[in-house]
Amino acid sequence: MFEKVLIANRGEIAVRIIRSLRDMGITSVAVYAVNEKNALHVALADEAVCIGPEPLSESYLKVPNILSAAEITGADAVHPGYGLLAENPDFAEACIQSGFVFIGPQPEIIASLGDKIKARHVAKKVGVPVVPGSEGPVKDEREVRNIADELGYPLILKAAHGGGGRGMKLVTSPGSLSSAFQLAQVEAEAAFGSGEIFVEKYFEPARHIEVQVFGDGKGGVICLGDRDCSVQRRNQKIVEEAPAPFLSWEVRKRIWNDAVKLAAHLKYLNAGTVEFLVDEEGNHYFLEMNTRIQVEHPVTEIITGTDIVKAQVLIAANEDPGISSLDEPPNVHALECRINAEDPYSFAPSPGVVEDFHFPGGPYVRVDTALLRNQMVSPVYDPLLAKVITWGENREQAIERMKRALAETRVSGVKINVPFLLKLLEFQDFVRGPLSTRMVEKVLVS
Amino acid sequence: MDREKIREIITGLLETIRGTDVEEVEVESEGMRVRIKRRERGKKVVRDVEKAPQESALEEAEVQDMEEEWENCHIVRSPFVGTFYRAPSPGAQPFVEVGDSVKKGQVLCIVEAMKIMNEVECDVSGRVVHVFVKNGEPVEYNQPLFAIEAGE
Repeated sequence: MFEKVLIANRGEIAVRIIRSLRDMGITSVAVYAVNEKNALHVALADEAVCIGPEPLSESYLKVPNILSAAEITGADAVHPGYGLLAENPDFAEACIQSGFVFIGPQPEIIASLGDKIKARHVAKKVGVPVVPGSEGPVKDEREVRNIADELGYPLILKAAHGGGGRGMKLVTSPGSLSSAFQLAQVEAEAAFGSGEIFVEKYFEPARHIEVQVFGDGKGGVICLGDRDCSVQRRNQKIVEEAPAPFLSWEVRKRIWNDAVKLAAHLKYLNAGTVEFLVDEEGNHYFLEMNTRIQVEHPVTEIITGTDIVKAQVLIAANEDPGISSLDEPPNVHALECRINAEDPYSFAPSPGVVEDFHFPGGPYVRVDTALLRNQMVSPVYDPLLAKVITWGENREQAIERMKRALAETRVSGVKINVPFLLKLLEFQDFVRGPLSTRMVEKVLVS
Repeated sequence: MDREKIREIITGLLETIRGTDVEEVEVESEGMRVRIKRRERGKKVVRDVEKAPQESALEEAEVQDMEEEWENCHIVRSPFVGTFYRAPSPGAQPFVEVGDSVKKGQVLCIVEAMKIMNEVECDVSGRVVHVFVKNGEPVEYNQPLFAIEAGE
């Protein structure tokens, strides 16, 4: 087992990882930018190393500095968290080359799944249905028009190296195709360093369902069930739950099987999430596979009684992760709401200084946060302030407890999205179904 | 004593001690009790901030205190995370010693990061008056390495 693990991340996920390491008796090493000297992850870790100035590119994204920090502290392994360098195959490779265990999948798998076109090919090859669309990258507008003639509108243009809901452009009619294509190319080039674009049919309404898997690197796969992440705004998830509600066992089983099939074919190592789109008829289509821990992992931890970070560490250390596949969804339902620093109605970011706050507690409530008083909510970092998780024997109970928890939540100094979340929890479609990725718009106009 | 009088005394006191090495003043009125504490040169300033319960990789509070001693000097900080070396190779003479005159651009030390030797240059001309880190010790970004008394 590792004696010391360095966390190449910040914020709530760094704190989350440190807590599991503490439980396991492993020494934790935090890294931080100069402006985050007083951050919670720095205070809670056993050791901390300042790795650079405030800009992300000079600190949390600077590979040599992170590896040097691992070297001077004598860390055995590196946990990348989510975001930042978590899905960067070069970082994973650099960790391994420098003699540290990378707590995540093999670098070449991160690379091939990071290329969304390659990922589609792999899924197709193993017989997992993919969203109808282009075979490979589309070179020009004409090619997109040809696909449009075949599939009809709306279409979605995606950056081959995008993902996580970024680098996408919706095309609703032939008239908007030209400008959307150009914009998508420019944006993809700027954001991901590659202007490669592919096209998919856009399903609406549809649900977003994902499956949590763990691979042993030899083709063995453990499946911890699914999560529903349909409640999104501009492709950013707001509410997640497990298990996905209003889903027949037949459809659910097919989705689980396909996720496992894909991970097994890849000989996938460690934790990963296979994302699917599910249409109104219950047909599912592979979207992408995320090669890291997800923001919404706590809902799975709650319903399965597991510690996903611990399982990741154990797998990386070549030990028994102590988890086993679900045979069916357990009789527990968990909800997660993301508390963001933003205007609850316009969703405009609300940067500023958090003067004071109070987060909920009590039975059936978990709060994952790294927030401190007088903390600057910087536009440099993402607006997530906290994740509030509630659970119960059934979905109704989990929703009622979420209302109780959100009603206790207070943050002063910045605006938070709690009023929107409370409205959503009362919304008819949310309570009774069907869930869809268009839910947020419907709540806003209701 | 009325408020106006107290304010006058305090203002006067502050004016008097400005620029001196007085660190603490205690005044008790009526019965009259005055206590003045001067800062001893080189003495560590005791901070009332409690140290984090965990052991930090680098003793933050100590580093800060050391810096304060050299507040009139230019501080050369580490631009990298890595291991600090005072000489180009083991057994060789250090690049600089305390008391040496240094020129802007002159190499002061090496910070090794992932087997790469990064030379740290002096960004002012002057005299080396203090070395904060021992040879072979790990350093983090922005950590003070040398105190330089600026001048030609």
